[in-house]
Amino acid sequence: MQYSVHSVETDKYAGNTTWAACPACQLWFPVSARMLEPAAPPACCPGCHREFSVKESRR
Amino acid sequence: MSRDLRTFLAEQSAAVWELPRGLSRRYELTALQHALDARGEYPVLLARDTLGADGARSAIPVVTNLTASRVLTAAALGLPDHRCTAEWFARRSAGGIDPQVLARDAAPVQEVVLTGDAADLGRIPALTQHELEPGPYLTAAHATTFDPDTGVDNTAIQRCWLRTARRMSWFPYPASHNARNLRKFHGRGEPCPVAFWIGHHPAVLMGTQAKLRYPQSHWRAAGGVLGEPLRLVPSITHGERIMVPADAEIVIEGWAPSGVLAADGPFGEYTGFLGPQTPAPVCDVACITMRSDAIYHDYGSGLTDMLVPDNMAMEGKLYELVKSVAPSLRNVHVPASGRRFHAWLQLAEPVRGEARDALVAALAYRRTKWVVAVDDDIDIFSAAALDWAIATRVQWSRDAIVIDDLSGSSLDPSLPAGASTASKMGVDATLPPAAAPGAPRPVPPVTTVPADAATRAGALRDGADAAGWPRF
Ligand SMILES: [Zn+2]
Repeated sequence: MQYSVHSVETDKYAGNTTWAACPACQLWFPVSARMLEPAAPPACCPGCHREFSVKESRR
Repeated sequence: MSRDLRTFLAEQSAAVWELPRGLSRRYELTALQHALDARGEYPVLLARDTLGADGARSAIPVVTNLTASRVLTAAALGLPDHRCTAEWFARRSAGGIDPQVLARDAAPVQEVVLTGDAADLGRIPALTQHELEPGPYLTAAHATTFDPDTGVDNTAIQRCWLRTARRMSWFPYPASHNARNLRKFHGRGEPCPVAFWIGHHPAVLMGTQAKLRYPQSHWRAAGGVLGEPLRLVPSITHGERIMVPADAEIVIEGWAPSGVLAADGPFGEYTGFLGPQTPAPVCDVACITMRSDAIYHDYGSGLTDMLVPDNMAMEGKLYELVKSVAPSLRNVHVPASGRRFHAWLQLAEPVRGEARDALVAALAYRRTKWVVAVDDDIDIFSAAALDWAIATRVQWSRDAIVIDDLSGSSLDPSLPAGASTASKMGVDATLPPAAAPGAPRPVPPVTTVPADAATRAGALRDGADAAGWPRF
């Protein structure tokens, strides 16, 4: 029985995490894909608690 | 007397480390848990006069690392040996004992009732555990909701970030039964009633983690694991619609309004990684009740403190799942080092195909990712014994089963973005059976020494001074 290795190239090196940077203090933190949806609440910087839109932030 | 957190602490006082006063709840207690984990030491930690981020002292003591030890947690269940959990837990949580309902004036958890502005979350000495977490979180809050269609309650540990005096965000994992109840209320445009109870005997904490169907009350299972009826009391805000354990330490009652989401997290998860910031419902606090000398319970998230009770409950669930297709199953171990992803199955003389049946059954459980089946000569609580079995009894192309697209945990850091299913592997590390009863297995014999020689060697070693010997 043999196994084939499939889609490892794209999957493994793409990772799975979106990061956002706080516009006020520049702290990077991970955000879920749901934070990019239109109905999402503003992101909240875990360092300084500044609220901002992930879509408009540096990612 | 009913058993609760304080009866357990009194019984196990030798295992409790009462810390110096004035430790910070911001990182300091959690750092201590990490340091102890790294040394393989698992005392219960009791901290008085802890300091919040603002430097204010709390009169409410904090207990953490309550369930970091398998030995102590097994003792809480009344088990003489932590290695006997799987069969015991499957039996006791399936059996169940009906809860008993107390009048409010008989419920210790309602000795103090705080409403209005007095229901201030700032009174709760919650910890900020890890870097990149936005603030203090409840980590041992058992969120209790009910299904509006049937009235059946559901309870699960779910994190809450204390955002302001009267509002916290609350993260019911989207696949959880609490999230289903929440969606039903919100689908009707109604706020979801909820109560969060904190602090109880470890057997109750574990009993409420028994993995049940939907909708199915957790109170009976908790009583089964505790070995006596769980004493309940109607919550102040929601009455008999949401009962809470009368012998808990603290209860936070409130409503999750429809249409309100707040960014919650990042938060340290059982994987040892931080889960990302994500939209979560909020809970507006209506009432806080507590004992007059309440103790606050915290779970070290992603530490053995949280993994041990969860994994022991999971051993019970896997035992039940696997035993029904593989009667030769003897025992199950979900090692804390594998988080929730690894499970070791011990089988006694499985018939042809049975080890693979067992593997496939265990892999069907959402939390598992790698399952290994071994014979009953292998101690599944010894990483070295497991390693030996895998090294000497496996031909990978013959003995490994890889199955893609089974349900998995979205928190698995190795999954591609957006994946909702996982790739899993089972490994049959059992030896082939003997051709006839009493005949040797068709494999080489294992190296051994005679029993009397082993006894004499042990005695010789016990008489030696080993202080200067290398340990590794
Ligand atoms: Zn910031």
